[in-house]
Amino acid sequence: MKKKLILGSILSAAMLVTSACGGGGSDEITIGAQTYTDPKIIAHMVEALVEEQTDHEVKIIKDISASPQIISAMEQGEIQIATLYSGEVYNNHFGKDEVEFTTDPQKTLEQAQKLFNEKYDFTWFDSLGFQNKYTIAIKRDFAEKNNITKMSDLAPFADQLRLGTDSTWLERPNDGYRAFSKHYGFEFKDPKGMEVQLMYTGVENNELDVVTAYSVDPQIIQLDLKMLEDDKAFFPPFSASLVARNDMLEEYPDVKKIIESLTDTIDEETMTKLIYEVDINKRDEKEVALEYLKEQGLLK
Amino acid sequence: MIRLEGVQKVYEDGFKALKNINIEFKRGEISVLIGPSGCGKTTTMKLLNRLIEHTEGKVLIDGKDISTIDPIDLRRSIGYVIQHIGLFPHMSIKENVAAVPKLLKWDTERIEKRVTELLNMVGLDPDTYKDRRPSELSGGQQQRVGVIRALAAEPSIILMDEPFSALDPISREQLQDELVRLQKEIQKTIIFVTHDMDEAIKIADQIILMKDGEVVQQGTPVQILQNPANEFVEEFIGKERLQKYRSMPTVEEFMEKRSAIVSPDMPLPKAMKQMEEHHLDTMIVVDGYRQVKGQLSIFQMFNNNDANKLVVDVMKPVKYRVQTGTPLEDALTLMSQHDVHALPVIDKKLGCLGLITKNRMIEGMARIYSMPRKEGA
Amino acid sequence: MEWITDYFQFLAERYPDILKYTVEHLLMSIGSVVLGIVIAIPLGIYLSKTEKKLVNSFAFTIVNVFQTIPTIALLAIMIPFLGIGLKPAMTALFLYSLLPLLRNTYTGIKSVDPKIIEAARGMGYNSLQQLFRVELPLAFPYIISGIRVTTVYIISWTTLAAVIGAGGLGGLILSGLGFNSKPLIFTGTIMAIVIAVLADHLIGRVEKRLSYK
Repeated sequence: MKKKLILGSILSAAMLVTSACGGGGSDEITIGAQTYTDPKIIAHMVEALVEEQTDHEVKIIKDISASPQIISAMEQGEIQIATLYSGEVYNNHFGKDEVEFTTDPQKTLEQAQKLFNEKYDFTWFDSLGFQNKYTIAIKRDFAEKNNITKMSDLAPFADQLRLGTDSTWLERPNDGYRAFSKHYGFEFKDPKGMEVQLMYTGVENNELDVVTAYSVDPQIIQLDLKMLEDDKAFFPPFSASLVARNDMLEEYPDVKKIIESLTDTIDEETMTKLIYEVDINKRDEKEVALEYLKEQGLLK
Repeated sequence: MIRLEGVQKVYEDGFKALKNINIEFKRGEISVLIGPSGCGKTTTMKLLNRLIEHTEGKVLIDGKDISTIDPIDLRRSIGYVIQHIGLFPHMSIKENVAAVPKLLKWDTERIEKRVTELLNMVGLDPDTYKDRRPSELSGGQQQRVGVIRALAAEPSIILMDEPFSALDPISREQLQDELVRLQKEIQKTIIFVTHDMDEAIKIADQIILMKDGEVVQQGTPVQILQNPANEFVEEFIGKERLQKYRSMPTVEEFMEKRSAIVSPDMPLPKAMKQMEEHHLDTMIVVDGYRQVKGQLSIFQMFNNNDANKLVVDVMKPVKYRVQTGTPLEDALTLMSQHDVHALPVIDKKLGCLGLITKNRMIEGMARIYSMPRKEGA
Repeated sequence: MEWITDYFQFLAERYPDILKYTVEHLLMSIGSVVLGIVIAIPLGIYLSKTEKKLVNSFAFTIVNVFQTIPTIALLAIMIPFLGIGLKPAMTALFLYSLLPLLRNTYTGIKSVDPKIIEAARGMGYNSLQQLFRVELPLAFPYIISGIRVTTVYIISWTTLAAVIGAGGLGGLILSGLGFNSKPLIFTGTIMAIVIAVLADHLIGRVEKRLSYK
């Protein structure tokens, strides 16, 4: 009886020590991913490379509801790495006097890199090579019939067109619906916010005519939609970058190298194809990520 | 008049609840259906408003077969008082009483008038009570409302299903008294179900004793008490009660009759003379309709020594009275409880027959003691 | 303290939109509950009257099953049949409202003292008069408390309708989550609470006014 007690307390003490080490920055690295597919694929790529080239364990937390939640989880050290988009810098994280709104991709990225480093102690790496930004997409037959190629071409039809979008876009201050209709000078008929996937269901069921697609959404291909050119330069750039906590990068320079190696390697077309494999062909995200890395010769 | 001819009730499972019932409920009388539980008394009553349908035989009301009458119309023409009161808790007293008249689409003025009249009849002040909910009334008050609700649409027949069984003994007795009093006024054909023999004896004109779906004996309370048809009846009545009614002399046997009665307009000296002749200290004042008006005692004579006065000027009201058939013992109990020396004796129609005094009672008691006691009593 | 002035400024700027979200929310929840009432109360009455035990348990099982499907799942199940937007959202909310309304109506009618029903029958109430003048008034406290509870939680569940494009205060909350705007999350949540509390209070007053006890 007594022996058991002693053994038990030694064991629990040992566990305490190990878990304390874990909290302080063990070999485990946690990567966060939003609900959509591109961050998940990127997370698996990082995971595969880290696990092949280092001894670190990698854990992925998926389906975190939105970028602000990712950022606060990173801030608290629950995750160390994530994929974020340069336009995030306009997302209420900084005061109006700290950040200047622009649609220029380079300036946007630079602001993100500078501000997140200063305020959050994150490194915002250079772009992975693709953007996943808001765009307006309509049905191709309608576009061709009415000769619509640019967003401003929608003006005469807008009040007849039913818009589906994610709930966020309706309320975003700088780059949301209200700013958009002011910028382009027209309003859609009955704009509705919803889960992103449902926008496409709505188009398919002919309940919606216009959607605010993300530029890498494979459904654009699948449903044969036409992405319209942002001819009045309204939408801010959303360049995808890996973002990581500085303390982790300092501790594990090898991880930093791996992240840097991914910079500017995946263009929009490639990412769309990968997402298509997952979302449309229903393949596993990890499998798709590994296949890509092997094709590129990055992984054995 | 209601007649049941060869009535049977057989349930789907074959259970025979009623076997060949032949009875008559006379117009203007209280008929009490009594018997142990499961004897069919409630079933018999519920045949009359078709809450239960009989399977054989005929039920006739004033010669009309009730199976030819629409049950809803039939029920609206028959008053119904149920056990546990059954007032509608969500309606005011007024609405409860007005329920059937409303179903019959009486105009509001007539309903209002009727409700006031009925509440007054049972001593509930309409202004105080009509807007209250049943839950704000005592049990006795609630069942008074239950009774007048059944009377509201002026039915000639009223069914009462153990109406007073849930009340405390005091309220129960009060309501029984009130029912008897009321019946003199309203003269309805009342079918009353109970399992309480004292209640039956007290209120019934006719008792119908049932057992296992059959009528065992029917007759007036006195007939049944004096000649129980068989052992079951004797047992149901109870040895004690039977003994009491058989051997006990009753008040009318020992009361002073004409000798104790004076009329209200009699001059005092004449009344005094009558007292003296018959050695009485109390006399009863009765009018030409045999109604008790008051009583006259020797004390009032002393205090009003005036030859020009009439009996009516000095008489006192009478608080207590006994009915014919009341055993001496019960009368004595009443006297000692209320500290009175004499009680008027009243018949079923409330007419005064005479006066029973303590002196007379002593003579009666003496006779009981000289009687040979029955074996086993 | 700056955030208070900021927040008031936000309200001043955005109140027409907030109002629009709130009205959408209100119409959607009340519409679903009213629909639920129209279906569930007569059904509850029927079930309390029918002697067919099979019909009874069948109906309750179905309604029970709807109740156990997670909200998000039920919303998702609706989409292939009803598309996106108001139709599937209100259908789902309506299905959720059925069980408590049905159960309370059923229990309410069943709870009426059989003695009172017998009194009514014996006095010559026909079955409709019995239902409307005796049983329903007596079952009313149960029914109204069912409506009260249902309304309150349907108002809270309506926030999820925004996910399938039906609008309502959930839209404000989702947007707020999406771009890190606390005023939006706060306003959406507070308004949903305010509507729910108001509805609860209002129905509570009706309950007090109309119940006999």
